[in-house]
Amino acid sequence: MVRLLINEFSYESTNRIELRNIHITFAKGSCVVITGKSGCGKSTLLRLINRLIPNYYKGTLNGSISINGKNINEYSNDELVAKVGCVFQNPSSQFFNVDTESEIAFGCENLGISREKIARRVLGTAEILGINHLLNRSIFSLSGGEKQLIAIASIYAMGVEIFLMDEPSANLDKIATKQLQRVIGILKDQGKTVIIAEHRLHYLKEHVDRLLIIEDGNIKEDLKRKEIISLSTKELHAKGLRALNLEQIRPAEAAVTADKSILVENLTVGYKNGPPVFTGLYQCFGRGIINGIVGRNGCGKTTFIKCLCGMLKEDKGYISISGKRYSYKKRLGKIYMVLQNTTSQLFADSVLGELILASRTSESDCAYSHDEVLKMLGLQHLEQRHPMSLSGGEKQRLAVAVGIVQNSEVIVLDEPTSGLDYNNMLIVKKVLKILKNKDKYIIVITHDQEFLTTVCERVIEL
Amino acid sequence: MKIAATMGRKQQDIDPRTKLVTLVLINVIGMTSKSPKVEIFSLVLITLLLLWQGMGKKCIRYCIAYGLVWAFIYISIILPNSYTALLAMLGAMGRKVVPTIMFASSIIASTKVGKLIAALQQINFPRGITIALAVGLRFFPTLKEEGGIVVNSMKMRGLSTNLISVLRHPVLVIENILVPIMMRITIIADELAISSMTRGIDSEQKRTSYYELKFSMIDAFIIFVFTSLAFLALLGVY
Repeated sequence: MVRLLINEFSYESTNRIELRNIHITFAKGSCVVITGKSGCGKSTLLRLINRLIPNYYKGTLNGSISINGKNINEYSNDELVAKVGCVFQNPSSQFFNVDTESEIAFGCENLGISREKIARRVLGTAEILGINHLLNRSIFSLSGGEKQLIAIASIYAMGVEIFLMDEPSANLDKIATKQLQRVIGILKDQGKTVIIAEHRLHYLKEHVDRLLIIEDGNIKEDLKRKEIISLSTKELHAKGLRALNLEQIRPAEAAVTADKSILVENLTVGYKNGPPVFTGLYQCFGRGIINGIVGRNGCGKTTFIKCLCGMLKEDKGYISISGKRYSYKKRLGKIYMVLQNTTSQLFADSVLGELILASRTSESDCAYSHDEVLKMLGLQHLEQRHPMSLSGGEKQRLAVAVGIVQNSEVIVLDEPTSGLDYNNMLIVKKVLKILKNKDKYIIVITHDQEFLTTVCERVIEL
Repeated sequence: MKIAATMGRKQQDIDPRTKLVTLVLINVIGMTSKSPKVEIFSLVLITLLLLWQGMGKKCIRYCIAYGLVWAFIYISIILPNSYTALLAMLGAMGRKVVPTIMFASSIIASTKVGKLIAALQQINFPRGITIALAVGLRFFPTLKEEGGIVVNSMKMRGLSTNLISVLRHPVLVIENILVPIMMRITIIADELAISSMTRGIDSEQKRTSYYELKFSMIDAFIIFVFTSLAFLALLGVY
């Protein structure tokens, strides 16, 4: 049982009141989903429960938090760690070890549990969570979804009662999200309390007992299972939330003509000293429409995109754009990709500088001035800011702006909506519409089912 | 990715403590020996050791590198002037460092972090340093991955990353690569720190280990051989 009595909470760094009047009790063995727009205070709530505030983030809390009737400040660090476990958004930055078994054992080792017991717990955990096939593997060979399962296993092995998850599905594909859903069910069956902060709601439909909607640090709504199920997509969208039921209808397949398409013919690509990742691939992408690429983690999406962008040489086959064949060297620079972590692709020391750099390196001139492009993407007021000081969404739009200025005909976006709430998803949609109006080739790699069904006009499965 | 490859197949492994001691001994041999014979003998021993552990490719790569260093030294000696003297000195330095790098890289490729931590714990290394070292080892693949992404996105933006542009605008290229990587690494380090805190990394309990370490006769033999060689190098007897 977790009891929150928060009158007011604010971070030291901002001094803004982040949470107020949250008086609530989570029953043991229940699955609680906390949702709300980005920055509404969901993550802050989780950080208070696992004492990352004040252990890592500083802030002032007027109120108290108790677990099983005991104030969390009365628990020692070790006791709390063995009671409350966390799974985070980014699967690759929560690992210490290079192999799965060491990782599952890691928490137990820290707590000084004996070797025999750890061995028993590692095997037991794998058995219960159904992940025996992941034992004795290298972490680097796992898909995002498998990494999340290992993250859950590693806190399960510590004997944790309360599982906190902060957007655990943000980087997961459809099948991995299904695996996560299954494991959440197992945790519930084991009588564990699961508290999840999340934007994507559809995969939680089966297990959610209670849904909290947070707005500006307040509980705006506190819904029971029955009420949640009856919410329509329209009502959820009106609240700025993601859909609970995904429409099963596929978007209409937009028609594509040869002179207005990217044709991939008989493509075979592989890495040095390895078998080809795929062979004989035929695909086509239309101009002026939003092409969505889906496929499991590890199905070769990344490899395909790398080859398309000209960073990897094809072993066999051709890629032609608007009826003209291009070698991989010629494709480089013609096709531009907006990465998931845009931090890795911004190099200048100001927003404007970024665009100047882009027009200096581009081969042909862009039809729009820098001011126009910034305005198009709602960045005009940020002209002098350092790219690294921008928010995630702003960086993403800047990266798109670079693609426009660079006059790339093809713009690929890698998971543009990962971790975004409904309103921010709409902004991405708007950006794509801008590109569509410029008659660009738009290719979006995405796991986001809702985005796929509502925005993409053509779906390509790899 | 190299780790993934070596972990998949069954391989001979030695105790991590043996590896660390051997690494120190190889250093001693390299730095103190005045005779190339001892150094070459040391390289042969390392090669045998790695072959036994199933790292044939690594052996070939480093043996070729070592051969090239020797060729470099000889060429510098054949053409004696004040420049080549400097080059010869550089070559001699490389000659002493190659075996150490070779063995160190084999340690990184073949040691499970969990086992390394266990080894350091058993010789009562301070917890802080042990964890820092483990995280450091885990960071190499991440750094490689992040670096690759940055270099690729530079190419995509028409910023060249080839040798000529590096030589022409070294500061600019380094800045372009380093700033994004540093930003990414700060984020990753932050997330890693948080994840570790929620899993009891700062616990006051004495840390235990999932892996049981066994010091075998082979370990003793390896240490004996390299210790003997180090003595030969130190005493200057050959």
